[in-house]
Amino acid sequence: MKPSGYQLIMSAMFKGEKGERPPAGNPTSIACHDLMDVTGVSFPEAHLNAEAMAELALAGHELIGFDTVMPEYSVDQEVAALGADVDWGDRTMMPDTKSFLYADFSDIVIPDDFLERPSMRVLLDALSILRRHVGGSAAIIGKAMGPWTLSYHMAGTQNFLLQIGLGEIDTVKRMVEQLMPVTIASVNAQFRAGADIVVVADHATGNLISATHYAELLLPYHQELTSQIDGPTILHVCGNCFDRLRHFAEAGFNAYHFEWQVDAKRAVETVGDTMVLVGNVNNAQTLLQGTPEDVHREARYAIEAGVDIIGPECAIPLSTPLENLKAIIAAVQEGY
Amino acid sequence: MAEGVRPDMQIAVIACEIMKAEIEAAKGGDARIRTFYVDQGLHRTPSLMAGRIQEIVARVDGIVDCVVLGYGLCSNGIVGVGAGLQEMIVPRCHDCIGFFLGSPQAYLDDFHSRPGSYYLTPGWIAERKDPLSIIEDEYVPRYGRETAEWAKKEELKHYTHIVLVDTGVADLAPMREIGRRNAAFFGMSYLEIQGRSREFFSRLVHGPYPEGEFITIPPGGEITQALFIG
Amino acid sequence: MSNHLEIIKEAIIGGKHKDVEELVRSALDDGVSANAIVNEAMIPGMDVVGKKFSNNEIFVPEMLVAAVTMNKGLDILKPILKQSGSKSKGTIVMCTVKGDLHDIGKNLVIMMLEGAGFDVIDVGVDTSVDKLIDAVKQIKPDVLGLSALLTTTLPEMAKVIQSLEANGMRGEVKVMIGGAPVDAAYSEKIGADGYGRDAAQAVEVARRLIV
Repeated sequence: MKPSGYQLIMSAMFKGEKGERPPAGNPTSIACHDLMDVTGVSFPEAHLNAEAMAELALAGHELIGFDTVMPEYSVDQEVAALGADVDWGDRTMMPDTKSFLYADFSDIVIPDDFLERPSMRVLLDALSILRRHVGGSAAIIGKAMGPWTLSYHMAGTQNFLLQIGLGEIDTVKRMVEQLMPVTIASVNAQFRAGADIVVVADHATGNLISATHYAELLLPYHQELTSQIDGPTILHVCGNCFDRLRHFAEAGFNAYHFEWQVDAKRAVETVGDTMVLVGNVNNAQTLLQGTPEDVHREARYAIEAGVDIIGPECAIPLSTPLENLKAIIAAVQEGY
Repeated sequence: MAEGVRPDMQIAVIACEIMKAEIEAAKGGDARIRTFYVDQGLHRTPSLMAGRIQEIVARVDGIVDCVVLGYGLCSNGIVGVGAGLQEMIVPRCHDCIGFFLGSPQAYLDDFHSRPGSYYLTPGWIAERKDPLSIIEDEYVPRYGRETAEWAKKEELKHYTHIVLVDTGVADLAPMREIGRRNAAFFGMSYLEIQGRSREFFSRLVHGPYPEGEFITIPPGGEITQALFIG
Repeated sequence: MSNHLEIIKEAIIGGKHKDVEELVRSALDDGVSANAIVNEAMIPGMDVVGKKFSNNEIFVPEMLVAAVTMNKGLDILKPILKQSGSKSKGTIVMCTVKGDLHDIGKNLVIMMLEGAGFDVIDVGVDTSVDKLIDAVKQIKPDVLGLSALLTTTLPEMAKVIQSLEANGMRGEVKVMIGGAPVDAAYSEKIGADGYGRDAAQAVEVARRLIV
């Protein structure tokens, strides 16, 4: 029997047997204008409405051939449920948090019905819809914001990072700690709703904080988090994180979804024996502005380097051409 | 085609259902004009639109002297439609709301003076495409009331006005009621405007087709996005 | 005097936000000019901060504290600079481009430019091309500064320059660009007048563009 995309992805997630080709997947969004036009689902609808979310997610699997589906296109579903005012943007504009409820670092109140708030419910419903449509044939990926990213949205990124600079370590740790239950609840609810894998996006990126600060301020929380999560996880952190790859491996996530700044070969050499690697076709230069040949070359480089799941490095630019996304699939279809 | 329709010409107008009343009013009893309407639901799936329009072009191909499209660029939904054996006339307009306001420029002017406008026309209201009806018909059955209302409110957060465009083809009172109810529910202001749509639809059906306002695709040609830009 | 300047520079680099006011006052008391403090201590200090950031020796938190430190010092110096009647070095409109909401980098650049004596008008984040064209028409700045963090929004910079050209305004304003995904090659490719690697370099670029 020919293994399905689901089987290839799950096998890769546990470093199991390799199939006839590497799986293609993207833990972050592959929504783009071409897919919106085909499905008739656009932003902001696809952030707010379960069927619209699911329909757009399916397009990446059914029309392009990715082995994963992932229905969350924003980073705001949890923060909206926490009461933040979210601007859901439009067709060309990604959502953004408009007000920072805890800029004063006061105690965070998590509503008892957090998972029942509409912005969470639509996400959970979308995962269930996907389960009914492609369960067993494509791997269903959920997405949750880690406590660090949630902190950016609660306090404001600049404000939050400034506290670190000012040495207010206890303040920072307290906020991260108070937001842990949000991430844990979100991840586990997504598994129960139908996700096979959940990606935890937590932007402790190399451009923003040092590896030392990651190890001191976030690693212990990531370890706690992964110990309380019920299924396989992928960590997503943008930017150049080479200096903290080993820390990520210690954090207990099954996989790491990484960007182009980390060379695929070096990533595999450094943590390939302990972590599954997902990525890392460059978005801006290659997928958006390059040719299908450029994309093919980069995807083949990642495959030959030993990256386990091949895909774009991060949520793709909205104007990414379909041919370039298809070039990723063409590259994996050539096998190992 | 800038001179418009000659007395002996046979014309096919292929348009979105949403402007049926306006086009029929403009057409009057003119037997040389055949009208075809395509389900407006296609504006949600623009990729299917060109195919449906092309099917109708094929039905009249070589039989009529000219095909007129009652469509805006509509998220590139009409890109790729071929004119067939005759000339094809297309309004030079990204969004068909310009038709109802009377011209593309009228739309731009209106947009700049009041960027947060949600427009309703008789056609949209008849199709129950006002936000409250969408909540009732499409969202509530699938998501339950709370999520349905939340989703639409969040989606329309940026809008400040419900603008009813009176095109003179339907009784204003029930539409006004629907417009006001929407405005109240979403906390927007309610406004009525009278576009110069009668003049526009008359030009659409009878010409003339000045180059600034309409694009003429020669026989064998095809609609491209570039025709609409620059 | 040079000792004062050296100490203030080090305070900026080290983010000694609690000490800087005292240090600036003491320098002023000893007759060091406000101009010298800004141009020979603070901006060179931030220049070092920018270089350390580029080399991954420090990260955003440390850079923000350096900026806060400079700001506290500037609060004391601004009234003096104004009194001494030092003229504006030029007007700069700053923004983060359409689709991009990241403003930390832009805010740092604005602070540095203001410190260096430029009048800066901040038109905010997610700025559409139309809004920028309007701003240039109305404000008539010497320089238009474009910032972006997301690689996805980089193409917006090219659009701004094309639109200035299409509107026949390209000759009226210099364009400088910056942000994590920007480099000199991209700047040249899209026809920008200058590119700043970091906030301190943005000041140099602005000085070079406004002669």
